[in-house]
Amino acid sequence: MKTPDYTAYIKNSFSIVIKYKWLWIFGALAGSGSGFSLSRGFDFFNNFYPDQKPLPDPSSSTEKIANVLGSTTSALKDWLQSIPISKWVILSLLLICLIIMGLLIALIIINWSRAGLIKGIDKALSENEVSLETVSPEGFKYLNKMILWSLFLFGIVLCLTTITPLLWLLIYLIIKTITFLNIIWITVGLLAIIPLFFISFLMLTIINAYAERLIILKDYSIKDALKTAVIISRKTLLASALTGLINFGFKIFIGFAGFISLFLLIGLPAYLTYRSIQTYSAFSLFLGILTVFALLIFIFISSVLGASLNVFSYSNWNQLFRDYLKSINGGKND
Amino acid sequence: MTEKINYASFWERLLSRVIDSTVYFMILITPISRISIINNLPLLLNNLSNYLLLILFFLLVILPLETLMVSYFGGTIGKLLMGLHIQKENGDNLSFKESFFRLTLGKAVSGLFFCLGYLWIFRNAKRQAWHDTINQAVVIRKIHLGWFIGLLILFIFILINFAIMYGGISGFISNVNFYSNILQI
Repeated sequence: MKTPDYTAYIKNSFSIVIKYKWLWIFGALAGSGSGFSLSRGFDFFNNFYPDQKPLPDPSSSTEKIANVLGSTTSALKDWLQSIPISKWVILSLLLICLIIMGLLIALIIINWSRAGLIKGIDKALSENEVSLETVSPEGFKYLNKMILWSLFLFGIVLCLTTITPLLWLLIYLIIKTITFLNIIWITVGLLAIIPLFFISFLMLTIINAYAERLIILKDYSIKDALKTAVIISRKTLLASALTGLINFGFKIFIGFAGFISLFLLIGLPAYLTYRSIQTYSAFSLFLGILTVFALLIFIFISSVLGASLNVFSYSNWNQLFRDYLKSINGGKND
Repeated sequence: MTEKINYASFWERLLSRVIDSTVYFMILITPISRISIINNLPLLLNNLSNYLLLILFFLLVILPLETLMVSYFGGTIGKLLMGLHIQKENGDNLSFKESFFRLTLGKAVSGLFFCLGYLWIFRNAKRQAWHDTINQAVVIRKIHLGWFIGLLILFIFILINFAIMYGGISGFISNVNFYSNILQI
């Protein structure tokens, strides 16, 4: 496969983002579970926003807490010991059922939106009609396969993140007594673990991108999709890594721009409101209301930006996948 | 001759959802009014732990229950009382799976971008929200004065809720010494 024209990719992706606004819905939900999603970045920025509530007087509260604990601790202790085991079992069962239900719903939402997004972008690239009505059934059509695939991928990630450190620890325990080997093993482990994880996750990201498209656009089974995705990833490693890097670069850029605008539009007025509370109460009230409005607008814009950025990323991957298919089919897209 | 379909408006649908909420609120605050009259710490803790179990159970069953109601009867309590019916565009009831998707995935879709999906009812010809569009469903009006019945029922439910809340608050006030002793304030 020859080097892709990334300028054309970016141009096409931008025009898809602007022209097919229905895809934003899928983009917004598809990003809700991904590791590099913009929404996560903004969560970080939201957490950065300083909590400006005045701190309570510690001397008074400590005394109160001590009193509360003193008077009720023994009663609470007695009561906790008197709770029948059946109640704990019911509580655990209810919590487990709720967690499972929540996970199931999250899996449905994320995988439906991913399938819809991939199919929707494919339709957009072929200049077919794209709307919630036309794309939504495609999301349902591949939902089961996508859920199974995401569970499989989750299993691999879980294995990678647990088995590798455990294996390292096991070897470390075996050679623990030999000081020389011990030092070498720790050095090798520390030096190798970060690049190893980075390469593994990069490969998994690329394989995942191709496998998802093979499942949705070519109706492959999970096994076939995995096999073919590994082959495509090997053949297009550099192009895929560059596509991933471009997507990541855009996310970082937008995330940084979001952080700056959050500081300028929300942080600064909030700080000024706080400073002017005691001196200019009417002005601070006005500024406070304005800040709340600015915050709401910021949340709205950041959610739209996050959604469109996901559409942009998925569109780049779709175009790369299309180009690969063209290259093996001698210019045809099938 | 084809019959004219009356699609439910945004306000009717909102009213039916508010009725549902008042029913759920009633279920959740009724035990509180009973708990509020207790003035014995172990008994209070026992009742509070039971109440926690009730809330968790409620959270667990409410989704399957609403799903069943939508697929079998064509709506939740509020919609049924107001004579609104959720159905496919061809008139069939939604299947259990479709209802489940409507109430989970659909609500997530409609809730995006400050609930823009719900406001879409105003501009759609069939008055479909985004959660209707994803499985080609519509909400139709079967009774003409449904909104009036809805308002009446809502008024009654709000009164009941107030009565229960009043009972709860009175219970707390009558036990104010007991709570002060617990907290030692």
